[in-house]
Amino acid sequence: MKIKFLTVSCFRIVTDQEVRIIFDPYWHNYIPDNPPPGPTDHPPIAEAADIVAITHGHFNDSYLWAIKGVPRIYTGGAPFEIRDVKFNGIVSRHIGNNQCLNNIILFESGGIRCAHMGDFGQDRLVEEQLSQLGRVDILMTRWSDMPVILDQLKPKVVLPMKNARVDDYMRSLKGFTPMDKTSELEFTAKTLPLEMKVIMLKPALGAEEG
Amino acid sequence: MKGGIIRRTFFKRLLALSAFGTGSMLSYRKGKGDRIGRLSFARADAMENPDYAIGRFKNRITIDYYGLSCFVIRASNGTKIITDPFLAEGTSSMDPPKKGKVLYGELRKEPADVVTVSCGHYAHCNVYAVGGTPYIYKITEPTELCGIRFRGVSSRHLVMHEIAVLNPAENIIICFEVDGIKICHLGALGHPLSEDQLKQIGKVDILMVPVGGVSTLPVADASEVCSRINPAVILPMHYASDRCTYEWSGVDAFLEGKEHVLRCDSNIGSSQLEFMLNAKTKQLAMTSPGPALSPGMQVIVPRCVY
Repeated sequence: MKIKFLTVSCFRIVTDQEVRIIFDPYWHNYIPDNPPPGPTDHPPIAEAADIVAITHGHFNDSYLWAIKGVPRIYTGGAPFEIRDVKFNGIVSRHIGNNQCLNNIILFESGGIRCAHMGDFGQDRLVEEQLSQLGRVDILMTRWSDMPVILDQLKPKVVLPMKNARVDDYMRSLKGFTPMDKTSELEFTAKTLPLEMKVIMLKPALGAEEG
Repeated sequence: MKGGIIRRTFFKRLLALSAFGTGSMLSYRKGKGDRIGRLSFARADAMENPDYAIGRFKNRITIDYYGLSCFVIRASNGTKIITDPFLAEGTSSMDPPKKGKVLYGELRKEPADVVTVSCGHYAHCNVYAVGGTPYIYKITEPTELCGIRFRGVSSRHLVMHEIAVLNPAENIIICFEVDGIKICHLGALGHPLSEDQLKQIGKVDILMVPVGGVSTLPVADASEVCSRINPAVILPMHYASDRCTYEWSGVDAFLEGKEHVLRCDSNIGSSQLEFMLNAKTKQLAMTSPGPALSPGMQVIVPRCVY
């Protein structure tokens, strides 16, 4: 399967049977009340998708107006299967405000299991969540409060998202692989690395870094 | 051939039964939409309305109004279509900018088969509130989803100045037909329709029109659009009320001058509207709540579900 990092928590995945999945599509025009420093212009996501997986209800992370075609959405709840992909949603706490929920969306295709943490707000995974997640090969997560999760899940590949910066902790990890030029990676069940690798992809739609 | 289909569905049904037996997949639905829920609904209604008891509930569609532009339309075979799900106040940690409040109850993960979205504004595009794995229809190409033909007519809506500008300010008018009844949802239309757009929309039985003004077309233009499309039933939507305090006008401004107005928005009675197409005369009839539809355009103001 091919994984492409588009921007802040938005990934585009194309599986072997040509199922296009987009996670957490980003609202390119959103300007929050306190804009973060730096450029915030992203071009719109002008891709077509078969499935759009939305992990949490932030309206700027679930903006699928820019996505072409007639996608189906998956927002957790019951497991869902299409062609060669199986989806599963695991409920977790959201960052900060405990009223709203966040779904960790786990999908499996071609023997590889990937999990997208969304806005995961717990400091460690509970046993029930761990048993539902099972084995995770590729993990897409924010890069803060992560050491515990990495120890619990022990994924083979970690793709940091949500404006992750390369910090000392990341550099200290053995498997840190900066990939400043690529946004897209291809995985098969056989080519997964044996040791954990942290790969910082370049956002394909990201703003130009100063 | 037929034996193969029966064997396949047998295993599917066995799986569904075992899912219910273990109780682990609480939100598992078999087939399309909430067929189980629909059966129990029909049985409850059989106690009240003898028409249901004698099996006259075929070819009926039901429409529920949830607020803003959100309608839930159920076809007679259980297919559910939700139009323009909105983001209600206080349901996410990132509430919309406080220019107005939307206090309608949220959809609470109502499962649907198709969700139609007319524009990209969070008050119309909050598909996270919908449960199940619905198709999202927001294009202009005619598509058949779950056995229902959808088509869209592109139009524009007025750009809202308070929030970040949506680019392009595109609005899709969605037309579809369930059980022979043609429904048209104008979304957040910002301008009167041109001849070309009217021709694309064609004949309409039930029209859902935004009447709030300010960010949608003015009330006078809304009335003119209704008279040009000439549907049998008009459902006004996207207006200000005690639960939606944007600076829009209320529904009364639109109801002024309309001949046949049926206000169902009191707290008595069901909030669900039920329609049926008379097979012989091919005319729309309303079965619940009574009375019969007047000839000419009938404006119905439904009550919000929550």
